[in-house]
Amino acid sequence: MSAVAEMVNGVKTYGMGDTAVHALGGVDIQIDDKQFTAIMGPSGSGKSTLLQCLAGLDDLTSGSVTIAGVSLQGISDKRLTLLRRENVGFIFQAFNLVPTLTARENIVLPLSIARHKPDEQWFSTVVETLGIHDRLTHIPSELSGGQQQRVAVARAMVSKPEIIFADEPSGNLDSKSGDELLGFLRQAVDTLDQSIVMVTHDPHAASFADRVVFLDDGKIVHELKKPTETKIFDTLKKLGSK
Amino acid sequence: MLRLAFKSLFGHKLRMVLTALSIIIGVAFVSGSFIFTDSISSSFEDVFEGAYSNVDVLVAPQIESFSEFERPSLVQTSNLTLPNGTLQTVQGHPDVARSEGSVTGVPFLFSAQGEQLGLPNAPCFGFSWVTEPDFNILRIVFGTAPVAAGQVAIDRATAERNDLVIGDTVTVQAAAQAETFEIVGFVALGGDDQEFSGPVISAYALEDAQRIFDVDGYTQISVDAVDGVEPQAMRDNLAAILPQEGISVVTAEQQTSNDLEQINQGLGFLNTALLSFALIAVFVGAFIIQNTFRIIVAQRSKELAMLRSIGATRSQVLRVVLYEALIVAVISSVIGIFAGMGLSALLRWGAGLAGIALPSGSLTVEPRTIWASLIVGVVVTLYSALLPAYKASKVPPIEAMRETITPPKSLRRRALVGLAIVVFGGLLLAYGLFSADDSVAQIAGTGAVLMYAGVAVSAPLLSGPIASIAGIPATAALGVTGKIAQQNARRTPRRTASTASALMIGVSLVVFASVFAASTKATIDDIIGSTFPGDIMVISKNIQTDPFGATFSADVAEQVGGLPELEVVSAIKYNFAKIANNEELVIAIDPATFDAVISLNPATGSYDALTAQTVYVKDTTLEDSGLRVGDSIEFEFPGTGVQSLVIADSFSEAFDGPYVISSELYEQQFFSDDDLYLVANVADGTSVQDAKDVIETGVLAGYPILQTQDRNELVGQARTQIDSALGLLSVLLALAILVAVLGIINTLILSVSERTREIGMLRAIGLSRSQVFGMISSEGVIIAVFGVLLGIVMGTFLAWAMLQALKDLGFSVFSFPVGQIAIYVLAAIIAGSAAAIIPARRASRMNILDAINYE
Repeated sequence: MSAVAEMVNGVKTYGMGDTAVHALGGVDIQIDDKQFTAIMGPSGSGKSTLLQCLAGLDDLTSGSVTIAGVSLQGISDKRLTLLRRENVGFIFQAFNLVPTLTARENIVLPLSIARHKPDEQWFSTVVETLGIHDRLTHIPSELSGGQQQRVAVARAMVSKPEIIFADEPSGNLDSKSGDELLGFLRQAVDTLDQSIVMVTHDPHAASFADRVVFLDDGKIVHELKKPTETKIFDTLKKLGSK
Repeated sequence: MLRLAFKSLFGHKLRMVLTALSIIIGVAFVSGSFIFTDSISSSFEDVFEGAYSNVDVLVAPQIESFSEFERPSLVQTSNLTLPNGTLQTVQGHPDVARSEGSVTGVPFLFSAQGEQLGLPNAPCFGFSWVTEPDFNILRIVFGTAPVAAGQVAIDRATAERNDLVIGDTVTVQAAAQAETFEIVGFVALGGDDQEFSGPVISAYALEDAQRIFDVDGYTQISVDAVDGVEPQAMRDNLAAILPQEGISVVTAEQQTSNDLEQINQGLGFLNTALLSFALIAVFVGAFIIQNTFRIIVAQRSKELAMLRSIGATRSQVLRVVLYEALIVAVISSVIGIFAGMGLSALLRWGAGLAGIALPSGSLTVEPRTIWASLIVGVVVTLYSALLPAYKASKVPPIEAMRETITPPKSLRRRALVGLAIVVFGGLLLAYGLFSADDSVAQIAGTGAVLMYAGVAVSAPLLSGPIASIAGIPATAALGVTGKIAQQNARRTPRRTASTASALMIGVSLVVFASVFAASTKATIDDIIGSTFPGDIMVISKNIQTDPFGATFSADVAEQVGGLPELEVVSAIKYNFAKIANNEELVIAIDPATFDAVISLNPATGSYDALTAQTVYVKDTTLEDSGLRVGDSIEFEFPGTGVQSLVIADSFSEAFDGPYVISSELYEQQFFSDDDLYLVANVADGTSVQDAKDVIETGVLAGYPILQTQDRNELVGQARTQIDSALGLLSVLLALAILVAVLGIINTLILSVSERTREIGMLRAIGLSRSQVFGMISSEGVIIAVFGVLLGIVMGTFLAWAMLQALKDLGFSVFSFPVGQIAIYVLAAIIAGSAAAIIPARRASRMNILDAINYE
């Protein structure tokens, strides 16, 4: 399996001297293609920082990040914007959609920004997979929270990015909608060959992934393949008691 | 609570600076207007009080001023002189210690090269040199006094402006033919530290002055009573021995206060004009202040709800917002007062450049100025903040803390209310404009203000449609970012609308002025085309700046009439008479020659019926007054008093005024045969240019103040005149637009900070910095275009209404200056983008992560 994103010896330090906080203390991680990767860890473990640095939303203090074969070192804001636009998809916990645009307009937004025409066949596949094909003319305030997040997923997928980054995508949803959403992400990986990296603190959510990476104190401390909820829970307990 | 208000203020510095700026501009205008006129008024007081300090009584011809401009010169040009022997009578009184007669007039000075001295609009004052120093309002500052024939002393500012030195010669023209004088000294008017810079002042030896002003005797006698005789007693004594008719005897004190009253009356007009600009700026500013506070309150609704939930009362929440407003208001008003001082100094400097005669002196800040400015600044700001604050205090805490966005309330009711206000304002406007009574101008003004308010109230309903239209080009140019900008402008219809409404006011006034000007130009073209068959006009160069001092001797008409190159020469005279106690312009023509040069289209086809007992009246004026041909109108003339004239005919073409009389009657009634202008037709076989040259060299060489104009020059001059008035007005109105642009900046900054997370998200999914910049700029342009469209509609409508009301005065053509209006739209787009620069930079430079995590 090839790596779609990679961080080598990633260090992220906030502040200087005595007050310096090491959010990432030398992280090496490879995100594999067509895999659903979850990043877990307690609050303050650096998991969100890892995602943000890996996604090119934030700079590393030292170390390197490569996304879709492009090194992010010294890259211009313009190139980075293009990279995000073409190769990366994002799903946030909330505030994912432009409130004035319809669901369809929101989904094709990254393409519209780039002034590309959407691939209609791919678009239909995505919205049908996500079950929002009949909500396309609605504006976000007319959709439920779950539907809004599914629109966000569709938007992340529509430009066929090499990788999608999701930050607690089900964090704001009730458990039923949350399960549905995670199911869709799983399906996107299985049937549409999408690569996804997700940050979560919820073992249940992480159990949808192919691989779970555990972070503590800015370092990767453990990794699970083919996780189950119980295994994750146990791992967390073990890490917590250390 | 006060501390909280302070903290909040300093937490949002830029926003407060912009709000403060709009208050400052409004207040500066208010205080600047007061300071400007107060300073001038007090400087004039100094000048005038110094002028007659050693004079007890003044004897002058009784001038009954008929013009509403308080200009006696119309009659003065007829050289109202004191009757012969008046000085002897005065000197014969035992109580008179000293007395001296003098002559004043309006002379025009030209350099040896033929250039007219002084700035274009400068008034000209000419005096005979008064030998008794105590009586002389002039003093020599350099050189010697003009006591011998052929000598002149002029004011130093004029001399410096024209590089004239002692020994140079100037050509002087007043009532009579031009003469050449040698400069022997420089003079100043007023006390030691007073010096007018603006008017052209000249002084001559008495005999010279009498000759050039065509005065046989004196126009004023200054009297100093012997010790022990009070000025009032001296006045009464002299009044008793002088003829009652035609002579006014006043104490110097009385004269000073009369002069000052006249000046203050003139300044009053100026003050009103300036204050109305101030009110416009304040009116526009109120929109912005209100908008700012509305948004601030909305943004802080969570914070305010939190305060409520921890036990703050509604009135405490209300107070937080009002304190905030009060702090901004007081600070800005104080700054505004200082800015007003600067503004008034600037105005004075500008007036000096334009040749408007103002005495120098320090700035006068009356307590009234400070109070008025503070009240305007504080009241407007508090009023603007009150409604949003009240609304904020009404929100139940739990609702505000919830994440939900309240669905927009229906705008229909609001639109209906606005529409009702517009209609009501329109009715008032119509009543004010079309009522025959002139005193209802305020009602028309109130109507117009109400219309603005009504449009502003219903404008949110238009935000959607107009933003959609204005957003089409943005979407076409920028794609989806343009569309988001368009949607954002629609998303907050009230905010967009009130920001645009602020712009609307300034723009509509500029549009009003340009449509009015364009229509006036078109009307002039039309009138000259249809009613002016004449070839050449002979008219004073000063006709525009001093229309009533621009008349000239009938000798000119005689000399021009004698030229073989001309076939017909007809003279036209103007003056004022009273009809039913209203001052009316009456125009005198020569019935024998008039028809060949100007066609007014009289119903009978000729002017044969115009005699010394008849009048021709404009048809619409007749209609309005309910009179018919054959009826009589009572005219009150300065000469014989009331005379009844029979309406012999009516005419349909627009003319300078609705009443036309014969020059025969004019000469009887106004003691003068001076003309205002001549119109001539060239003889067959002579070109217009040749005829002009002959008039210029043959006759006008002796009258350098006069000029010839052919039809093209006539039209051109009228157009230039209108353009420069329009230019001046536009500069003042530009300030109102500037305030509105500040409003756009403010609105955009607020909408950027409101949408921080959204912008962060858009950046994360691939919107580039320049695209963010373009998005915010588009929003600015959409708001600006919205405001300009409203402004164009309002301005055009008001101009149209005004022109309808003025139809009787000959404003028959409505012209919409497409090119000029297109420039305004373009300027709006530029202003909108310029206003967006700061907010757009802020938005595009946001750190994506911070933006996404922004609370």
